[in-house]
Amino acid sequence: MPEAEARSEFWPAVEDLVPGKFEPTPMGRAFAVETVLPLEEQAAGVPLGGFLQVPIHLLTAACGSLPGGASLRFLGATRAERATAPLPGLPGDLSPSQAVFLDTETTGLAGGTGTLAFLVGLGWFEPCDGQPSAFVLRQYFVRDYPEEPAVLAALTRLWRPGWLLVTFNGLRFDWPLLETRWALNRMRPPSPAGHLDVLRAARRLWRGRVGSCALSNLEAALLGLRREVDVPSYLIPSLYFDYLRRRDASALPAVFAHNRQDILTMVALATLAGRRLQAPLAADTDATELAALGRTLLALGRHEEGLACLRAAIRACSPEGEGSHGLRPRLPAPTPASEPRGFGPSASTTRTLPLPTPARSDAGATGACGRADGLRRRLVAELGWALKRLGRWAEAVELWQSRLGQARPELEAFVELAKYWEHRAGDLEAARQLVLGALKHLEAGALGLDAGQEAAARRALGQRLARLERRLGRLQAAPLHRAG
Amino acid sequence: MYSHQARAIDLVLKGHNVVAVTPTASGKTLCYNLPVLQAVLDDPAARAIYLFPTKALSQDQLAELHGLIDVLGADIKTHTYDGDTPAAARRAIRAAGHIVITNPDMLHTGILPHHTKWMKLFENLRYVVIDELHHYRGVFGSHLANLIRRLKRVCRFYGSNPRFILCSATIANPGELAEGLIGEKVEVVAESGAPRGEKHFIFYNPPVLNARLGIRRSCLLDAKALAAMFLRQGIQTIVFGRTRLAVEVLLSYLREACGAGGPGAGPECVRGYRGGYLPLQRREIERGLKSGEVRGVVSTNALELGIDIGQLDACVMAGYPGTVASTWQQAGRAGRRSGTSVAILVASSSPLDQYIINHPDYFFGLSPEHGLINPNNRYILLSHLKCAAFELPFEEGELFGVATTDEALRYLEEQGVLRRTQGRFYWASESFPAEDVSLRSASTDNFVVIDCTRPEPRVIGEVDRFSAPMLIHEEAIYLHEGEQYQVERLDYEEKKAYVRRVDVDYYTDASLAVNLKVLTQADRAPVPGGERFRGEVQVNALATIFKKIRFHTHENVGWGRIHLPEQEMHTTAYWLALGPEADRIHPSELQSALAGLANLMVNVAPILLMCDPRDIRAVSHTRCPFTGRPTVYVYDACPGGVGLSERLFELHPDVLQMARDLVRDCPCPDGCPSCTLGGGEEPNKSATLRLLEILGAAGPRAHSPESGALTAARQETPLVRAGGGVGGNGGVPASASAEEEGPPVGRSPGHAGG
Repeated sequence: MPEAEARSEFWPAVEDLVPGKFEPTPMGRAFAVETVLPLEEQAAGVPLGGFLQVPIHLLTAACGSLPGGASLRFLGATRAERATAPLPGLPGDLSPSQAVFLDTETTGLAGGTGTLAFLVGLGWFEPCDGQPSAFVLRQYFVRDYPEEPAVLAALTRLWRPGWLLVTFNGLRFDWPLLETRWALNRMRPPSPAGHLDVLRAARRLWRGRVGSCALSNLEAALLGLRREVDVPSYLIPSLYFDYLRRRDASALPAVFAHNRQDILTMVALATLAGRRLQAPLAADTDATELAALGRTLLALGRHEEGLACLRAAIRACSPEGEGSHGLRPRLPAPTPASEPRGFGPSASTTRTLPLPTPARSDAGATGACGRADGLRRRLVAELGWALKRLGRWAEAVELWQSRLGQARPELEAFVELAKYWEHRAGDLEAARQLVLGALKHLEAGALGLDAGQEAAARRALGQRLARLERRLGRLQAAPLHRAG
Repeated sequence: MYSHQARAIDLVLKGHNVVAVTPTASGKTLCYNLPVLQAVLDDPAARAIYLFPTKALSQDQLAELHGLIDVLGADIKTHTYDGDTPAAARRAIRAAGHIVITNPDMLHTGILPHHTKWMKLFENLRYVVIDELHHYRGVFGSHLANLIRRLKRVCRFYGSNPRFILCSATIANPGELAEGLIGEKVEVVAESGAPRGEKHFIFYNPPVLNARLGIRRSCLLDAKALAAMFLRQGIQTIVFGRTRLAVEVLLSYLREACGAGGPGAGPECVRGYRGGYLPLQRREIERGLKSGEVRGVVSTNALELGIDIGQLDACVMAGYPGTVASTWQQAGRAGRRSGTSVAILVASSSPLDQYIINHPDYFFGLSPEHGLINPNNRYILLSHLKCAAFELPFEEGELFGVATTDEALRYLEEQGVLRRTQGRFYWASESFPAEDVSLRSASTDNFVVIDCTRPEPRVIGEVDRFSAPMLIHEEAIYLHEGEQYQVERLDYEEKKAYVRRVDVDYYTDASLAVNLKVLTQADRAPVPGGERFRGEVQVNALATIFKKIRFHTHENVGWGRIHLPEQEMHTTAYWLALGPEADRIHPSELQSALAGLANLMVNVAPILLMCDPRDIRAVSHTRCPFTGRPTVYVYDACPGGVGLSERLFELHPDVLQMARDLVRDCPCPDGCPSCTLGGGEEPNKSATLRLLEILGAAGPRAHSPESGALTAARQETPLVRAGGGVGGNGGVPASASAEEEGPPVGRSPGHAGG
């Protein structure tokens, strides 16, 4: 008699405690537990069916991976790719209903060939007449090592072509682990149409806001979910080994519940991330998350929405009523190629720019106010870079000039403006005025820099000034040469 | 192609496993590169693994292979895969690398436990190349043998059956070592067909400064004088120092000496080379040596390995490198294929050096060392059995090198790390076993040594549990790469020693109270004057006190107590019980005589066993409870033993003969640290000599140094004379010429021991 079938006389078996059934496969029987949930069922405050409305392309591009394993990480993509191919290589007809949510419980976190996935949970939208009608959650459990091939075979058989894998840290952990299990059992792993790792989306969108991106922290901070009774993840391997040794399954229902909740939380988080990307400004959120959304959308080629998010983020951390006109939301944006308006210099070469007068800045602004100001300044700088990268000079110049107008003007704004006048607009004198203005502020100690930064700035500004004056001198001398 | 290359390649192509034993720079890499490249050209799916003991060697081999592949113009992807490989490149290497160059540690923790990611490699693995075979001896070799068992097991799973090509420097038992490592029959190719120019091998013993203490002039000073003389004559020279510190000292001496400058010998023409230098810097020095821009190099044994620096004119070794094989490797750095070259060995005062320098006939005439391993050491075997079970479940009845595999698996099941069900043993633990096993030591629970000199502490070394009380007790001076550190705190529970850099003129020597109990006696045989045994022993060792001993003079300049728990270890031992003849030695002298003999045996045995003197220990009893007789025990210093003392049982007459030669030829009046002083007993040289005679180590050896041959060895006047030059005939004194022989090889090829 096979030992795996041996039951303890004293302890309950898993099938007595968890309502499951045995699924026949060519490799033996696999124990499976299935739950069917209506689409209206709330998972952590979000209806399961809500996922069916998420912009799946956008979400996949933000946190996914292509079937071949090639990553869509935008940080590594080139600028040209970001501008021209926001969603490279994804199947065109992707739909949220293709998603299959997967989470495993394993005998350890070490990975490698000696770690077993003893519980594999999957959740998918079951179609009825071509329309998703319910959410099915099925969990396969390896009652002892020899049953693993049956579970893997059941997974392969269940797998539907076109399934889009959704996991939490599955790019690095769950999926490679399962692929290893299939390989060890000489089976071919199924190939998903793509892989969407919610951990990536969470890191990108929420790390700044909630700190730790552990699933438990995310569900508490973003979904307000607190699990009443739960097994801590680190205990799960030893619970399973205990069960194997003693054949006492009494601790297992809690592990099944843990796995089930992880999958439901994953659905809720993915839905939330999708909604945020779809309507970033509609969310009730803070500057950090708005900024993260802005960056993500910009990287995905959604420039208008990305810029709008950054602007909203800046507003969200600006004191009441101080919103500069350069930061107002611009939806839709003005034509990008237009010349800067406002106080743009005329053809005249001698002219005084309306520069601020230097005043020793209070660099040591403390407390929440100081932190908010620091964040605002960083975000304004980021918005400036984004505008510059997109070639939207009119808005960029307006923004930089607004930075000269604030209580503590910023060196970077001086420099960016000087570059603009010198290289873009070809107005060397205007550029020189800006450099001189920067130096004046610098000497007055009005830029809030420390001694080292001041020295470096002085050197760089000096070089810039010297070059500008050289070029200006040549320009004046040139007609003479021609005359001679 | 040379004859040895042709023969090796021919054997490989016929499907044999081959070990090629060749001196440095005889083109051994071709023996494996050709068959491997051919295999990939014939079948682009074919794969090969190259194993080198260090990362630097991997880099070197990568460069050589790239050169060959460029010439071929073929698309053969060759990569190193080690701790330095960027994560982004790993996936591509796993999927598509034809030749993967790595080291045993990476194979152990990075490749085998993740073998499913290497499916392409393991399905198509045709060759496994193991270079620098002689490095894999003792504990390291025993680990490697088990690693190869694991590798072959994974290959079987994927249906491949690779051939092994091994290369070794000259050792006494290349075939035996290779077969022990890979567990299969191996053909030995041992004759080098490479041409060799005339070569002089000079043994130089610095003059005695203090006969009582056995102190000679520093070998560093004399090595410097010799090297400076060569460099000033424009002779390209390599100098080997034994430690990093020695290298740095020699380097600054030499730069100073060459600063005055002869032609092409400014200070920048002399470079240092050792571990710790950046790879780019090393490459630059290697190129400089090949092109001749660099005229002199001072190196640790880092350059003893197969790194290609071309061939130099002269080699000076400051101190005996520790093994005959290493000495030949280092000496091999000098020696053009045509033209004359010279290698000089400058001896230090240590017993090993003194034995070698006084017995050049031994060095040239007798066999080099044995590379010994014990793959079935219980501790090592169990460690790898866990790793193997992690990689693939064991079938009941499956063998892992030993007939008792099943028993060991059941033991691991009892320990709770394996689960047996339906005829299979499955890994059933959360841990990743390979991470807990260090290939370079036997016991798994090592102490780490943490340097706290700088604000950010860093780990500089590891000490195994059994050596910890001796080496890293509080106040101990811990030597690491020639630097001195003092142990400030030893956290015994956490297995951490906190040390700080110091610069003191003494070292510490701990006394160990050893209690040895014989567990099983495996073998016994009568010998002149007594009886020899071998078997298993239990050693209980308690570190009691330590002494601070001044360098050079060996004065005792202080002491302290050690408060650490007793250590217990089961290991293998060889012991010698004296017969009634030994009663001729007066009881008052017996203890000194025995202690002297024990010290001598520990000092000469490494010459025969190719191990570090720390790998074996000895203890003597005037009346041993087990034998009831005066007895000397020599045991392996690692749990379970790696076969060292077992071999001593067989080498008994040689050990005694060497011990006797060493003590007799030592110029000290009545015992010094170079011969019989050690273990805390007053030395009594004459008593030890009489004891050795009783034990049959009496008659003069066939080629005693007194017979007049090889007189260079006895040269005690400084070699460097004012104005003396080496360019002409007169500069080099009597030399032991070894031009035609090279190292003696293949004396016992094949399958001894089997």
